[in-house]
Amino acid sequence: MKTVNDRSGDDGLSSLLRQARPRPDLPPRFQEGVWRRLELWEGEPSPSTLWRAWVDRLAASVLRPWVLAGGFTAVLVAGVLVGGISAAAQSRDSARAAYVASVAPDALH
Amino acid sequence: MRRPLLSLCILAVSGAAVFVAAARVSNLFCCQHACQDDDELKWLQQEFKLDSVQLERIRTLHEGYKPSCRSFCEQIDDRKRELRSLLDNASSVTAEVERILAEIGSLRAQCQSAMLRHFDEVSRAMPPDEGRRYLSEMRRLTIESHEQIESAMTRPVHATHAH
Repeated sequence: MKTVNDRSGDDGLSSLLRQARPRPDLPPRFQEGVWRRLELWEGEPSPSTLWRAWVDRLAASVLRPWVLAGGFTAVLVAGVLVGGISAAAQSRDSARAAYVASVAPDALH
Repeated sequence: MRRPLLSLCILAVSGAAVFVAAARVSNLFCCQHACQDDDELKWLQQEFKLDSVQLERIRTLHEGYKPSCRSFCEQIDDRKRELRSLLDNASSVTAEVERILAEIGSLRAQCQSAMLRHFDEVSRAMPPDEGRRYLSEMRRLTIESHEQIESAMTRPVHATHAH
């Protein structure tokens, strides 16, 4: 176990070692540069943080009663239009097939 | 984080479901009204913008053409039945089989000539531009569809395996 006298011997040794290994001079404005780099690092959020913020913003703007009602109506109208347009195309195709079958019967094929 | 994402996912799935359901219901409803029209000339009227006078003129031509068309079809069907029974009983292509094949070919040619003459008459009952469009459309749908089959058959064998 070390005593107080032993520790004073350690301090002497440490000071001797420091003198034997001189500390190099830091470049000019070193501290300022370190702080600037820290600030930059803190200012750039990670991709996961960005994604989370984006989802939160989107949810906050979409999950509102009037936005939901408007979206529902738009989707419903779009569905009805698409169904109507495809029915018109089907109707046209079946009418054309009926006419062609009446003038150019299967016996020709 | 998890709840907003889950809500957005549920919203997107519900939106897609509403869209598909609306499209299907609308399609069924419209088809019930539009697809079940028995008039064979409905397509002509809509596609070639015929007025009632032109439509009636074409209807007369159409009704006049149908019996001759039906007669050719019945003759072709009779010959086909004969051919089938001959082929069922014969192991090789006999002179009789060749004769019936020639008859079927001749009847088909007569039927196609009558059909093309009818297309010509119908096209003349339409406004000139629509008549030309009708003729080209009908040739594409009838005669040229046979040409496509024939050209597919005559394509070199290696070309069909090119892809």
